[in-house]
Amino acid sequence: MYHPDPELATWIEALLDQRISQDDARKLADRLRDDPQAMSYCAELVRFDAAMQDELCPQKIEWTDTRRVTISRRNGSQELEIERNQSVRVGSSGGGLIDESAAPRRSQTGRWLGGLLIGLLGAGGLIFWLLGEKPVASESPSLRLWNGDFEATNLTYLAEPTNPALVDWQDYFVTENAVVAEISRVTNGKVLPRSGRNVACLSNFAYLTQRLRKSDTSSLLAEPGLKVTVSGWAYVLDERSSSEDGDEPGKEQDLSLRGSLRFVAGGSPGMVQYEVASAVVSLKQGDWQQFRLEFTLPQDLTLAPSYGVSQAKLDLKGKELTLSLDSQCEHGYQLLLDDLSIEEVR
Amino acid sequence: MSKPTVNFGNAEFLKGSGQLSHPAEGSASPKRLEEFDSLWDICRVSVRAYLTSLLVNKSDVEDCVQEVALIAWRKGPVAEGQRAFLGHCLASARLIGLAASRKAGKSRVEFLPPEVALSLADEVTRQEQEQPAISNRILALRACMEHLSGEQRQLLGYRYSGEGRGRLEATARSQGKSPDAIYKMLERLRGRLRYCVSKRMEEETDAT
Repeated sequence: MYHPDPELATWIEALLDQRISQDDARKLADRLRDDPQAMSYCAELVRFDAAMQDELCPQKIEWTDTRRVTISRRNGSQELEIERNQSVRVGSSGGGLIDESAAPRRSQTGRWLGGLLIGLLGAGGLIFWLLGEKPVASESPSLRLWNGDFEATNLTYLAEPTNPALVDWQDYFVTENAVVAEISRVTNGKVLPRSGRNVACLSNFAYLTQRLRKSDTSSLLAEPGLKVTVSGWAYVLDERSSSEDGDEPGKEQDLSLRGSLRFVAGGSPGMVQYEVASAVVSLKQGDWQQFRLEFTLPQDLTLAPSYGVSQAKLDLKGKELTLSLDSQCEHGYQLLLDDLSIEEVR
Repeated sequence: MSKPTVNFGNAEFLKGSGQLSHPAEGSASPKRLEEFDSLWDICRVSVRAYLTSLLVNKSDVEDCVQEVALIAWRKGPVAEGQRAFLGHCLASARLIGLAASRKAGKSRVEFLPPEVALSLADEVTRQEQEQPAISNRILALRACMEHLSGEQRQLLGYRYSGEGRGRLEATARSQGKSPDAIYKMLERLRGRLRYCVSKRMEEETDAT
């Protein structure tokens, strides 16, 4: 059985009481690094502290299941409307109703209001539907990127923290060097996503492509003078610094992200693409950086293909546009992208 | 301190001619809640221990425990047994804890360097997975706490309640002692309890 020296025990207790001094914390960290038995003892005390916390300040789980039944008559027939609402609350007391996956975290009041609002909107929509009156859309459909946060793929339960299934980002073309990655797992916590858990990870000049669609899923069509901006967050990762062995940063490189709007007339192998606008942004290695790519289509949209076998010019007005994001980072670097968004500038 | 809640499925609207529909696939049932509750009851101390090693700060730990609980409720392998459920909970705790650590790191003093905190968390995981009989530990702890005086129990209660530090310092003032003296008393109390729990656990093991 391990018998710790009083100093070690006192440091750990002070750590758990959140009153350890900087000096003692440094000594404790050194000791934990060097002495596996001290690490094991510290883990035991942490576990005991958690058990004490659980026993003395228990957490409750509250489950609510409600149904509201409304019976009405319309055109001589009976209609039954059942609204069912289930919620689980974890915590000591208070709280409200919210689907955490659908809304950002808010204050307690915000949660109540948020839950109430969702409920009211849902009920309102249902009433419209039941009465056969379609709600009128108040706004025209807006341009949006689909799966711009790369959270559509859940990697939590997979053994591998990366996956080639980049939902919505492999339209027309697929590149094996682009993956969706649970980046904190890939880098052992050294790099964390901008939001959620996943990022897109591009290496060896990989790219992402997405057919541009509006919120009503209609395509974005090329028009003379059309202006579009794509924004997001980028991180250039030196692959050597994400490995277990090396933290040594590489020397400064010319690293960039190229974006373009294209009409894809034919996919691989008979690929024909017409590029109507492009923009490049320089990136630095090291931390998340916000970028913005601005595209303006020319007035004359009769263009020759930029890629492919054909040389025939084509009037691209009214053609469907595709966004391509190409990593121009050299070998040995990975380009991470997260929280991408798009806007049509009017 | 936030108390996240999940409203699963939002509102489920059914339209019919008089019969109640069965709940939609994936929605909760009392049976699932019961199964979840019994598994979470076993695993939550492990999750808390893991997060404590990573974050130390109590309110951060509490928030993260609640987040892990909600993820476990939504996606946990409830049907696959305790080991799989614990593994899932600890994997979620790692992700949530690391993200919280990154956020908190900017505004709070880090007690331990991140790589040491992670090693400690890994050691906690190893111990929790090797000795998962948490219910026995809790029962032993409960029995040991019965031997404490009311004053001692109150002191521990203050330490582990939401407003721990303030209450402890007020207690120190009212007793004419320094906060350090109160924390020393706590240290001795927890030491006694740990000894008592380990002794009981050993006796139990010997008996079986």
